[in-house]
Amino acid sequence: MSDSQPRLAFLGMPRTGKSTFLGVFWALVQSPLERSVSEASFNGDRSYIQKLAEQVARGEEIDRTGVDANEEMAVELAFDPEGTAELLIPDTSGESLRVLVERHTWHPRLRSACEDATAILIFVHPERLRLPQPVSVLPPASAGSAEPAANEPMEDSPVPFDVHEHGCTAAELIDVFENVAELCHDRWPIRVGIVVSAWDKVDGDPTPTPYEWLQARLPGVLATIEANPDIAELGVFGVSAQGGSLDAREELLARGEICDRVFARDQWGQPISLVEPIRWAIWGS
Amino acid sequence: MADADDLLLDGYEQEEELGDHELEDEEPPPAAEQPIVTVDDAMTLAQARTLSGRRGARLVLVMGEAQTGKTALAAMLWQRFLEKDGIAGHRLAGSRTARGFERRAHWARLEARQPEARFPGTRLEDGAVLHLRVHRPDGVRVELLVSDLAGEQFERVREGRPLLDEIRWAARADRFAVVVDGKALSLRGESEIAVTRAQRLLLALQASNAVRDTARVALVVTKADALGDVGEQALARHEPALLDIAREADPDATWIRTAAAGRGGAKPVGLGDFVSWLCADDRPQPGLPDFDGLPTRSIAAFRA
Repeated sequence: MSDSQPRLAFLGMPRTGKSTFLGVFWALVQSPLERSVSEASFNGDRSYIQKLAEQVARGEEIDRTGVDANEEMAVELAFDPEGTAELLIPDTSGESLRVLVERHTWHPRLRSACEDATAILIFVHPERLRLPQPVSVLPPASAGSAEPAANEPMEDSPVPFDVHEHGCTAAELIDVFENVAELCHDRWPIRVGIVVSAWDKVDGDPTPTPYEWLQARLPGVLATIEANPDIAELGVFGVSAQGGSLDAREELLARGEICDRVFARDQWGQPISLVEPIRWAIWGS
Repeated sequence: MADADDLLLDGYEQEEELGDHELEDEEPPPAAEQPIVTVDDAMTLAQARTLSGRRGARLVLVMGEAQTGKTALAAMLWQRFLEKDGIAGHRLAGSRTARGFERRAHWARLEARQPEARFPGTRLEDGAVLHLRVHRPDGVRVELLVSDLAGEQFERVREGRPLLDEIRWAARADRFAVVVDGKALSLRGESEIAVTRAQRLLLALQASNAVRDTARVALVVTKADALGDVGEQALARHEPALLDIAREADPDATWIRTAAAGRGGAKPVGLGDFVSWLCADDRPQPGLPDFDGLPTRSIAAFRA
């Protein structure tokens, strides 16, 4: 790896869309309709990313990346107008991040991906968040009633803490940020992008921008990254790397090719190419 | 996990061997030499020292007997920072002990399947410090190391064991939060006991001479939502005397009332005051001219 080679680390818990995004990105690189990025050199093994791209094209569920999988995207790309970059993106498994968070142990492959990273993209799935729901959300205890209401927590059986079951997403991501920041401390500030995957699942009237969504759903994570500008430069993106739900596959495929289906938003909610998170991670704003 | 005393004293003893000057100059070990296992649920002081070597840290000793709400106080702070973008203008800026906070905050969440927040007592072997980084409204980041110790340690102090024999690192603390149980204050027969216990801890602070010139002391009423007429009367009666004792150690000592968020969407009480107090500047050192200087890298928290 040359010193100037951009190396991105994709981090996220299992099934947060990392490999899907990688597959779509590669499909866009090859698409003649996407003019902002292209393959600068045809050399090298593309079998893995090609397989990912084809699964996305067919509207198939992407295979989960194994903890010990040694797959990566190593390609030379030409970005318009920035220039050429020898990009390296190891496809890290969500399970290895879980090991970091739950066992506080770096899996060697994850550590390797992070310690050489020039930028980090953290993937979050909007429907797979564990929010820290306090008991204060319960209605006031009804006076004079001896019977607990339906779904009332049972006093006699408090459930002990299990990090796998109960750790909230925000705490997990703060833990990840702390550990990655520590590992990269010789090259602060590092770009840290939050990629909200499955953006098509985010609703609201009006639909929030990715930044507003992060502020509302994971305010502690947003605050933590923003409060450390000497450590991290924050970017926030919303991406729909499938363009919709795979449950309605035929409907999805009827919309056309990958570049017709997928979409992305910048942090202010403006439409952008799905290539943008990678471009930002390499070149900055 | 190691015995709580060992857990904390290990770090303490290592620091004493190094001495102040070496501590101030010490660089944290480079990332490559750091153990592959990252910071666990709570930090030892040795780990905390590594952290503080980079940015400086403030050690907070939360004092109170069992079931007075010490753990709840830390958990409330964490929960609120996760739920809301800031407390009284202070924003979360990170934590090296997120899982330790989660383990504690769990007891106030739906997943614990309790009808209200109830925290199990902190066992001696689970006592430790939790790390919280807070971004103040003026942009300054403050590294807090908040203790969560077993109530029985303070019971022994109340019964006469010198504070520094029980918690040897207490003399290094920058903040002393003496907890007064608002619920106990409101119970006839318990009210006087609650006041006496808080008073004994304040006297222990005084006797140990643990409060340095720059450190701050606060009397923190927990469970303030449970303060009924009896509790309010007890507070009105004893507040001045307790504050007088606290102000012998810290002339700026203050009262802070706090309460966890109750059912029905109630908001927690007093967290803004508490976090503002935690993050406020140290008291100016006597004899030093007042000027706007640049901060040094010296470690306020672990000075001998």
